[in-house]
Amino acid sequence: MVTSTSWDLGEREPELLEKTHCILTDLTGVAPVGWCSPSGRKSRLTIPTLRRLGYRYDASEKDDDLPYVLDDRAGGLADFVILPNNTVSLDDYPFYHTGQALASEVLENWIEEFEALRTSDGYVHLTVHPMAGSGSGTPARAAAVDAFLSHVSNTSGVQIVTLAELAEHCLDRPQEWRARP
Amino acid sequence: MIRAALLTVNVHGLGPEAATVPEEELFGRLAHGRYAYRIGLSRLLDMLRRTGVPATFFWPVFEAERCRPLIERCLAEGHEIASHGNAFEDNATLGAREAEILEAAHERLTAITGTPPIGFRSPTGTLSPATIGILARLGYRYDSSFVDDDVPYLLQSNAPSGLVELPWCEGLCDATHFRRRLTQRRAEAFFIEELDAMIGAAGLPCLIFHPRADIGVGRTARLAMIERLIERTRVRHGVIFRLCREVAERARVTGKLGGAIPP
Repeated sequence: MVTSTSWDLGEREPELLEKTHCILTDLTGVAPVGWCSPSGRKSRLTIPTLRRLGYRYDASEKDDDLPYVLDDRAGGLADFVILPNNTVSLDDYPFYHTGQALASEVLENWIEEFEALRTSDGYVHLTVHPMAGSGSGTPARAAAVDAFLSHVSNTSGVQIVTLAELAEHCLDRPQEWRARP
Repeated sequence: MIRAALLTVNVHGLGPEAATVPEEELFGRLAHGRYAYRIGLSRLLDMLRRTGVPATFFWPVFEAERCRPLIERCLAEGHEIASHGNAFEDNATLGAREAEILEAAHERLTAITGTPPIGFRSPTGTLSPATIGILARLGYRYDSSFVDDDVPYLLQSNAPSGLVELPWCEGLCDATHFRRRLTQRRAEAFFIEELDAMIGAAGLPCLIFHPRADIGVGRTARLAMIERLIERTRVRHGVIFRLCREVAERARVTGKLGGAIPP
């Protein structure tokens, strides 16, 4: 989507978001309903613009282990949900790029996160990058992703869904997905 | 003789980022601190309750104002509240304003908790030549900002201050390892290596944890690792966790400043 690596777009942000939204819609034939900041940053203009463009969720926050439906300015609940991601320990890039971990160590860490979240209140939101450098594109690292997905799939009572499906699930019952105080 | 260790918590939420960016502009990766408010800190407190470990919480006024129920919970569960400055200011650069800022932070934290704190840790890890003197005048009994020894010592390099220093150790601080984005298992190996050797060398281990999700242990999987570490410290080494104020007073009274503290 937006490919800038920082998020200092200033007052031009709505215009640029709309432009990239149109490009992606034209390319795929379907308007995207989800957004994730390329830099992990947002401004006060981001969410209002995304909502105006018809988006249903944002996946850029790192402040919870559960989805939460935004409060609306009118006082009720918005038709927009935050699906927090974990770019610290359910991501490939930080471990490979900064942490200098082996693929086997990353797999072990992901499984520990999954098992810990399964017994507390949270959902697994894994982020992987297809590139070779610090992502999961090479055979050893792709195998770690594969092994993690097998582990998850072989665990009973767990369902793998898309973010759009999760967003609709929450927005169908917003009272159950209010933000924690 | 029994061996003591300190488990301390630096209560960092949005404060570190808010020191340079307006709070209403903190989103996404600039808002990891909100995780501490929502779940990280309460989970850390749950873990301490499960393990029965008394801890010393260094609270900046900025965070205390935003987490009143959580600071009250810290008090109700027997933990110590110590000062962590006002709002992540750098004491080394405050100049003439330093005394005023430390006094205001002291008064505000006292008003929130009902008891004057007697311990201090610099919010950014740096002090000025005046800091210890100001703390002494405000009635503080110990500082825990330095990383220059393995055991407590009396702070008297400029003039006798009456304060005990409880030095901490980078290898025993979660942020050291998680800032490097190590896996939990690697961080645990680093902790164990440092802890075992520190106890073996008769040092006083001073563990530091943060309730954040990025540099800290607020996440469930990381807290499980800290629980294993606590268990190891107690069972393998026979160490008892003490509050900072207890160890500082005991060290001053007995003059025994090593890791072996009389019960």
